[in-house]
Amino acid sequence: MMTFTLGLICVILGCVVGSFMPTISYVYSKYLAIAIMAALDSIIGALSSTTQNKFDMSVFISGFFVNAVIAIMFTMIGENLNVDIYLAAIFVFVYRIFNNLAVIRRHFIGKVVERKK
Amino acid sequence: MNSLEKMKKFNIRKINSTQVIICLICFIISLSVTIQARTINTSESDILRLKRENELRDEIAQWKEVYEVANEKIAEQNKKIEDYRNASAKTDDTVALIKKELDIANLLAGVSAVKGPGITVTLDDSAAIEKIAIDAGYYNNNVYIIHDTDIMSIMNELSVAGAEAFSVNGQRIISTSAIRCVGPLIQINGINLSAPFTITAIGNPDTLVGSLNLRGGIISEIKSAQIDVTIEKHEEVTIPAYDKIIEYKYAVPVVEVDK
Repeated sequence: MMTFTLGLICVILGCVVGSFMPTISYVYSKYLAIAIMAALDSIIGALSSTTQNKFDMSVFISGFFVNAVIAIMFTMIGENLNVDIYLAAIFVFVYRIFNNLAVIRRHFIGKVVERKK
Repeated sequence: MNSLEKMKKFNIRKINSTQVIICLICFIISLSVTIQARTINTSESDILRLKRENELRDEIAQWKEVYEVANEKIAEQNKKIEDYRNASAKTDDTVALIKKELDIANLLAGVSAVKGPGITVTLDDSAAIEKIAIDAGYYNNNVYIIHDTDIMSIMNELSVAGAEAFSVNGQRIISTSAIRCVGPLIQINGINLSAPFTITAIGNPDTLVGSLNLRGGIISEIKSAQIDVTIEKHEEVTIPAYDKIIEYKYAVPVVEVDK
């Protein structure tokens, strides 16, 4: 539970700091968006693997940055080839986020059921 | 108190490097999400407007093409009709007479191209406009641009001086033509025109030019608004035909029948 509490505090802190930072150019917002999706995917993945005690820090850190970079690269390549590759990237990320959220949900449901017993 | 102690132990035990990194990353992610959201919210309206403009531009281009193709077809058909008329006029005197009347009617209605001596008046937005705007520190676009009323007044003046036919940037002015202001453009016959505007008029060139150049007349008034006016006399100018369908839905001729 501590992980979630601390995470939540950091999210709120990030929002507060973010609202006082200058905005970026609209042209680059597409890349930032895809990087955000990649990072969100990594975070949810990390949370889900924590619940299963399979969490590996090196996998998480590498996934966090490498996925974001690859997603941005795909977006740039797609931009140059006039193919919306970023849609595929977003599809994959959202798909995985849903899967991992399902894993987390099952984990907590299992806990509740156990406690009731 | 037992539970409080438990909590403290729980806290200290649980905060490890994993959680620190997760927290850091949560912070980074929410920071970038907030920045992104603010970027999108501030620039969305501009981007949408731009997108919409581009879409509309494409649409205009498409419709223009359609319009041109249709116009070509009309011209083709009109030529055929003309050929038939000529052919029948040769064989029949009555038809020849009717054709003569029809030609006059077409001339009056503006559905046939006409040529004759005349003048062209070219109005262009002031070249000094930017300098003026910079000097004044603002851009008062109401004063230094050509208005629909300028064109109307010039044509009115020319009509008084006996001009017989008008066109503005190739748009024939007929009895039902409307000239109106649509933002920075002027709409004539439903078509948007932009500066420079060339008014072509058929009539006695000297009379027409004289009427415009009256002291305190329309031209001096327009020139005082820093608009560039060029007037040229021509031995022969051509005014194109009105290229749309003239339709009277409500007005019907009153026919007096002799009994």
